[in-house]
Amino acid sequence: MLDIFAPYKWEALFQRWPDILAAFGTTVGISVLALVIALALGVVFGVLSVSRIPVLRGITRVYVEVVQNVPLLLQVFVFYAIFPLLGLSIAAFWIGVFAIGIYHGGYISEVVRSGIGSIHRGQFEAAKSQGFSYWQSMFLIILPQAVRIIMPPLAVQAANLVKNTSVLALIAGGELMYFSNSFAGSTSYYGPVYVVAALLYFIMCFPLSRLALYLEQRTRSHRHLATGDATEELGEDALEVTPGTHDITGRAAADTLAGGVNTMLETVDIAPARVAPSPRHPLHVLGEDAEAAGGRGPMEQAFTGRQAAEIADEIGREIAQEIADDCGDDPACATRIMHTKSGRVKAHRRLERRAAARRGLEGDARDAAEDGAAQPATRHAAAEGVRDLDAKRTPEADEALASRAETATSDRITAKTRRRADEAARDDAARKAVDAGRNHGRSPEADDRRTEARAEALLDEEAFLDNDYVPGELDAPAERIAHERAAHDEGDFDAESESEVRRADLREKLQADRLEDVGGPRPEPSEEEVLEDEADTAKRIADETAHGHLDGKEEGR
Amino acid sequence: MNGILELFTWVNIRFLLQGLGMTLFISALAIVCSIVLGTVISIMRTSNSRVLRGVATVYIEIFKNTPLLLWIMFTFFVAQLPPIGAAVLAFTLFTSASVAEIVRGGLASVPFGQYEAAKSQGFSTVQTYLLIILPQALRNMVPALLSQFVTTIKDTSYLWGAMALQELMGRGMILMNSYNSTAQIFAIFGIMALIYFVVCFALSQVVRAYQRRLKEAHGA
Repeated sequence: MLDIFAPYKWEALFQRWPDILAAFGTTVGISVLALVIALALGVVFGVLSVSRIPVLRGITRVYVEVVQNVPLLLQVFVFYAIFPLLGLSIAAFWIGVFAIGIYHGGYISEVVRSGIGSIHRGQFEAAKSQGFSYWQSMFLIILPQAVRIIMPPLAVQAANLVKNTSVLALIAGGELMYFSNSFAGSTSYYGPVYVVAALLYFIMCFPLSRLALYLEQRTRSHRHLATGDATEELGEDALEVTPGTHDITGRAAADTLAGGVNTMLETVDIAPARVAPSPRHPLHVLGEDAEAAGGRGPMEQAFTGRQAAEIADEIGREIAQEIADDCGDDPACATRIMHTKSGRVKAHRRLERRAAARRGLEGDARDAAEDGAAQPATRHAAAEGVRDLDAKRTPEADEALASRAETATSDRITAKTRRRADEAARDDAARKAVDAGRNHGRSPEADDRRTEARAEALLDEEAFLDNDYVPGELDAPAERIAHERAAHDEGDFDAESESEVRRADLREKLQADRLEDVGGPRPEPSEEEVLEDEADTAKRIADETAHGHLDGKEEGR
Repeated sequence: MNGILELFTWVNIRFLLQGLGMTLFISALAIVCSIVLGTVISIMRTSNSRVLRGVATVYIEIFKNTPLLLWIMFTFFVAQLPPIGAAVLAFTLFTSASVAEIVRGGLASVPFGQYEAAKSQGFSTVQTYLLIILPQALRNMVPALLSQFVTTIKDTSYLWGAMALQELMGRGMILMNSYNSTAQIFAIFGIMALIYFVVCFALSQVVRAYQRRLKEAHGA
């Protein structure tokens, strides 16, 4: 055994050290060039593999599967045989570069795909909402972030690539392994040369696998991180994420958007996003204005990822506000706002106004309005924005916004209910006025009834508010009602006591209605429907009250 | 075209399929040995003894960072083993480093409470691993091990070039010698690629299906 490593064999080997170095250099050269090709192919096919077009996805699938499931050596042999056939005489070096580059391109494309898949899908929404095209968002927003996740398995791939250059020994590639074989074959001094080759390969691969480990530990917190050699079946998780095809609705969309923006903000100052060429692009409006940016027009300004994220965030909040204002809990409406261009454009407009107003504050708002040519999209916006100045955003305003969004629906419905009740009361009053006109002596009674109707209206509103909370609370607010009503009905104790009975009736009725609603075939009647029903009930009761007194009169007529 | 059809004789196909048999035999033997060796190394790596940990780490680093072909050459020329023995040994040495990493991941996926529970019930360390931990870890390791198997099958194609062992690749090359038209040679390449592809692709589909099942099981 020791004979294999006899000293004279080492001597013979080290007399060939220039050749060893040359072979080592060839291995490095092939590795670097093949890595370049593999990276290029990997990024292109990785991006295509999440494309919206099925044909492109199919092509990448075929490429990846063929490359991964056929031995590298066989692929190398095919290349080795195919070039002479095409009339090209290509050195084994370049065959190696191409074959290994294409082989590892397949693996790297899987790495890239899973990297893209690990980016929060809200990022696509965020990018889309600020008008980035698919390719812009892919290359400016998604990929720069995915790099963090891609790097560790990529380093592993690089190490594997270096190791795989050894197959070129079998086509006389002239690299380290080939030198070892030929040296061993020609001298039959097998021992030393393989040890030296092992050492040289180790020198190349060890730093790469350490790098992989280091990068991996640095990004370990990331949930999609793939480890070590397992990159071969990496990317399973990423299969589901096909940007542009996923469908999220309403509030979820707004939430996701916010989530994506948060991720974006965490990965601060990612690649600077160039402004999109379209003059209607929101960034033109929302960026610094030309003067502040040192005379550069909006088209020349570069945006960092953070700025882009902040703008996306603002737009996201505008959309959320839009949904809160217009939709209540109607998911269809929310979807419409989230998913249609007009919905997003509306949000953009609001933000434009706000931005224009902000500029107006800093410079001169009137100037901005008149100097429309400089900022084509903001002319009206600036003019309108002056009005929006009051709504200028502050942290407190944001908090208020959140609570306002919550109560917006209820306010609106309360107003509706109150209006209906008021109408009922007006009708009632009108009838009573007629009544009073006919029977002059009964005017105090009519007053009484009017107060009563007004009380009912308030009660109506109270019932709505109750309904908004837990059912058990329905009984509790008797005091509250009394308290509130005291402001309106002070001194009118008769009406108070009289309507007390009616209120109990109404409460029963409302409760019965709710039970019906819960038990009914509709699983969850929207809040609005319930409230409208209640408003109708209230109106009916108010009408009945009025009619009860009119009945005799009508019949008498 | 006739030249290509000539290839599809029963003799030729049987010749290639025998090569595939050799490929699968060596890969399977190598992977089984690797699982045993890899498990031992992995357990060494998590042991309390610093020496054992060091040995295991050095082993893994050496074999992870050097090419397989080198070890095939090494076992065949330097250790002077017979071809099949050299092949299996080289693959076992090389693959067990990867398997050790896989096993480490598998062991890490078993909650630590399982070790404590086994200890509290009076199991010895060996019993704990053999009866309690490994059966559970194996379940999570199956996909990675199968994909390692695919890698091994692909890598056996080196054996013809290195030591003239007649596995699928070697049989294909031998077959090529008896045909000389370009079309026929590329057809043989195609057939070889197809056989490799069918075997490896089928296995990787199994891996995917199993992974999906594992994910569902974890999800439920």
